[in-house]
Parts: sequence; C-alpha cells; structure tokens
Amino acid sequence: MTGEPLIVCDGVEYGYGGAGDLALGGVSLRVSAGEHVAIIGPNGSGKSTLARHLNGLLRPSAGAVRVRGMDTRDPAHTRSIRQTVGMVFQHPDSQMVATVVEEDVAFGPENLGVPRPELHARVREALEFVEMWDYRDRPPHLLSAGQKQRVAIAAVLAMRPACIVLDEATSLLDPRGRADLGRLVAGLRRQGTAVVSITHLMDEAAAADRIVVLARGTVVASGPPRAVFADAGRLATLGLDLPPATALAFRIRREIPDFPVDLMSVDEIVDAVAGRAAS
Amino acid sequence: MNEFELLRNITIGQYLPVDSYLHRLDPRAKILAAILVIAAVTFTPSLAGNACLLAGGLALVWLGRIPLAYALRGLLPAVPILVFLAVMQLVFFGRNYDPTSPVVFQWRWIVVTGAVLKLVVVSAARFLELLLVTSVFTLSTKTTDLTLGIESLLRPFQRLRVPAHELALVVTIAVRFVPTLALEAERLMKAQASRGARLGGSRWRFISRVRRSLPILVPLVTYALRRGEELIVAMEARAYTGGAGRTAYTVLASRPGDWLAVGAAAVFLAAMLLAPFPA
Ligand SMILES: Nc1ncnc2c1ncn2[C@@H]1O[C@H](COP(=O)(O)OP(=O)(O)O)[C@@H](O)[C@H]1O
Ligand SMILES: [Mg+2]
Repeated sequence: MTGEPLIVCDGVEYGYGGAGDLALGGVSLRVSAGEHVAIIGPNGSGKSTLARHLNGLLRPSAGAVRVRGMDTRDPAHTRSIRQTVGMVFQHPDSQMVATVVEEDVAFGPENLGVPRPELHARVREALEFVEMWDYRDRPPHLLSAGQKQRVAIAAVLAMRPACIVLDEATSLLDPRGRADLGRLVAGLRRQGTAVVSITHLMDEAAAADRIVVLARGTVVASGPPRAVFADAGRLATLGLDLPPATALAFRIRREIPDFPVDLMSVDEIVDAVAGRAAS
Repeated sequence: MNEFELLRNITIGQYLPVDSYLHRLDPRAKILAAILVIAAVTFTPSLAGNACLLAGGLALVWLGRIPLAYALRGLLPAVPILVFLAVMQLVFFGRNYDPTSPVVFQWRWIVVTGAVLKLVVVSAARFLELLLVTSVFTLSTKTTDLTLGIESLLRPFQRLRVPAHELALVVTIAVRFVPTLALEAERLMKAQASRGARLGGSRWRFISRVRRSLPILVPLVTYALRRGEELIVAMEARAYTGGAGRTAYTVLASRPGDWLAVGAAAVFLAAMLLAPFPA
C-alpha cells in the first residue's frame, strides 16, 4: 500500500437511475495524505455525487474507488472506510443526532466501538480543537449555524479520520462562521489531516494545494490554484468566478498588458503594483 | 407574549436546569414512577380522587423545585383544547349520557345534566394532571437521560426482539428536532406574515387558524422530510450501522434510594384504587 495515495478514484461512473446523463462520467482523482484539494464546479456538475463516493456512501457503477487500498464496493470495509474519510455536509441542522453537543460528538466513535475512557478523551480533544468544549452540554438549537458546523467537524474528528470531506460546509454560514471554519481547516492540515473541500467561494478554493474543476460529471481542469485561476476564460464559460484579487489582476491587465494575473491576494497585488512603481 | 413565539413557550419537552430530588433521580426509576402515577390518573374517575391527584401533581411541581408560574404557563397552550372539549361535551352529550341524572340546565335542544357536568370537570382535571405529570417529568429529565433510561429499561426485552437501542434513538431524534422545527415554523410564519398573510389575531378561532396554517404546514413538512433524509446520510457517514457493536458515552448508575420513588408511586396508585371515594 505504500506509495498509493490515501484515496484513489479510477474512472468513476455513476448515474442516479432514471433517464438522462450520468452524474459522473469517468472521474479519476487522487488525494494524498495531508493534502488539501478543493473541488469547484457549477451546480449539478456532480460535486456532491463525487464526494459521496469518497467514503462509500455511493458506490461506482463502473470504475473503482479505493481508500487506503480498500475498495468501497466491498461491504466488509465500510466501517473502516467511514472511519478513514469523514464528511461534513451543507445544512447545519441535519447533522446532529443527539440532543446535546457532547453526546453528538460521541456518536461516531460509539459506532466504531471505541471503549469508554478513550471515548471521553476523544470527545474532549475534538471539542477543544474546534473551541466548543464550553458548549458541551448545550442542545443544538441554541447554537449558531457556525457553531453547529464546528460541532459537525468535531464529530468527525472524534473518529480520527485521515481525511475530511467538506461538502459546501460553509455555504449557509455568515462571513464570521466562514472565517472560523477556514481557520479550522488550516489547523487540520497542520496536524496532517487531508481535506477535500467543495465550495462556491473561490477565496476558499484558493487556499487549497490543488483545485479540481468538475463540469457535467467530468474533470475539466486540475492543478495548483494559480494555474487554474490563470485560465479565466475557461472558468468564465463554466459560470465560475475568480477570487476577488485575481479578478482585480485581470482588470489591471486590461490597462497594463503585461501585468501578472497569477495573483490570489490583495497583498500580492500590492507587491506587484509596488514593484512596477519602483521600476 | 409575541404571537409568533407561542411555539417556544411549550414547556413540555424542555429541560429546566435546577437541582432537585426529581432532577437527581435515576431516569429509569423516574420513568417507572411516572407510569404508575399516570395509571393512577387513568383509573380514578371520582371528583374527590381527582382533587387528590391534582394536589399530588402540584406536590410533584414542588418536589422538582419548578417555579409554579413556570409550570402553569406550560399548561396555557392546552387551555383552548380544554375549552373546546368542555363545550363539545356540554352541547352534545345531553341526556344520552346517563339518562337517570337530573337536568341542571336546558336551553332549546341543549341539555346539561349533573352527570355531564361531573364528566366535564373530571376530564378537564385528568387532562391537567397528565400535563402536569409529563411536564414535571420533562422539566426534570435531560433527554439523554430519558433515552438512556428507555434503552436500559427495554434491554431485558431484547430477547423478544424489542429493538431497544433503535427505539431510544427514534425518541432522541424526535426530541432533538422539536425545537428545530418550531424555529422553522416561526420563521415560516414571519415570512408569510411579512407577505401579508394574517396569521395572528384571535387565538380562539380554530377553523380559520387551521385553514391559515396550511401555507405553513406544507413547507414545514417538506423541510422536515428533507432534513430527515440528510440526517440519515450523515448518520451513515459516521459509521452508523445499527445498535450492534456500539459502545456508550454515558452509562446510568442508580442509588438504592432512587427505587424508593417507584415504591412511593406504587403505594400512591394502590391508595387511589382502594380509597372509598364517593362515586
Ligand atoms: N438523489 C438524486 N437523485 C437523482 N438525481 C440526482 C440526485 N442527486 C443528484 N442528482 C443529479 O445528479 C447530478 C449531480 O448532482 P450533484 O452531485 O448534487 O451536483 P453538485 O453537488 O455539483 O451541485 C445533477 O444533475 C443532479 O440533478
Ligand atoms: Mg452539492
């Protein structure tokens, strides 16, 4: 198994039945340990369908998905795959099972049969990581949407996954909730957890190591954020935005033809402008 | 009280965090004792007996250190139902219910006999007693304790294929979603009201209230179904495969003194059954 990435998708095809096209038409994707991959694409392009293949919630009708070498089609591996790849969903209200925060965080490891003293240690560690330990005896409806999503992350962390998939986990949050979640993702990567984040926000995607662009169930582009965003024409035909700073760089280039466009933050733009002013 | 905040004021199903004998009681003992008290309510048809039961209900409020005003406010939403019930009984029973009973009031075809009057009082009293007992129960019992108690009490019946864990989980999820759905209903009501729908007004006009709540009920049910479907996926993603092989985060431990409450409730039930109350 050494050398094989954490998650390998090989020519994954999937259709929801009924007439019409396949939701996924042969997607190949690799996620290495500790890597941060962002998946972007228009609505209905198959992002959620792909995400659900990564932990065996859906099984490919052709092709294969392997997690740490385990084929997701083999039911004997289901539990172990779900432990390895955790998932956080979009809606903050439909992920909490229990009536208080700590019981909810315990739900995953309980399912894995983790013995009790360790269970308590894990719940505490996970809630402290997302800074929600003080809220451990609160019922979910007294939390803000951002706090609920942090609890959802803790609930996954308590299972000690090697990878966390976030399926538009920030799309229903306010800017502050988004910023909190962004910091958490950065923290996860520091501790070596791989992150696959599906997002509509290009600023979020820009923070990844690699961006995969899906359209109509196929991968149409893949590479480091700078490279993907530099091809603004293709993104525009898909109806996707650029990060605000990159968009600004493109507009400056309309005035100054050789202005660089592979810029992703305001600081980089300031540096580029300052560099030109100096020369 | 704001018209739209009615739903929040339902005290049944909410926990009141104070320290009392009832709060500390082992949930298993509390469930059994509550069943015995409810049986006493069910099998006591006399006026005097119901007076005792009402007094008993108030004693429970005191024993749970629940502020009386708070407990009574929880009964408020039931008042329209009680009035409705009483009116129906007064108007429609007439002479059919116990024809030997003397007539105390007559107006056109509406006849009220002594027996019907007694029936009205006793059924209202029973209703209030039941509400009082259940609200004291829920105000003094955390939902986690409730479900642990149910699971633990049903475990001996697992051999008879009673799905103890699954039933407890169903209760947990139902309780967990009550406030979520109430808040969503509130949101929908406000949204409809802001578009000119007249939802407020007299609380007593049932028919128009029911008719007017349809535009809220339909989206609310849709919302509930969607959240429910998502919850199933989220539970699966957290390696839930049913009760087998799970460990438990919280384990109940009872003191011998807890079972005294069951004994007291049994004595109370026996006393109510055997006491020579005038019929
Ligand atoms: N449960 C489902 N049943 C039938 N079709 C579905 C279902 N979920 C998604 N689809 C279809 O599959 C395609 C991909 O959907 P999805 O993966 O949800 O896209 P995305 O997450 O990128 O918006 C869409 O055309 C969508 O209509
Ligand atoms: Mg989606």
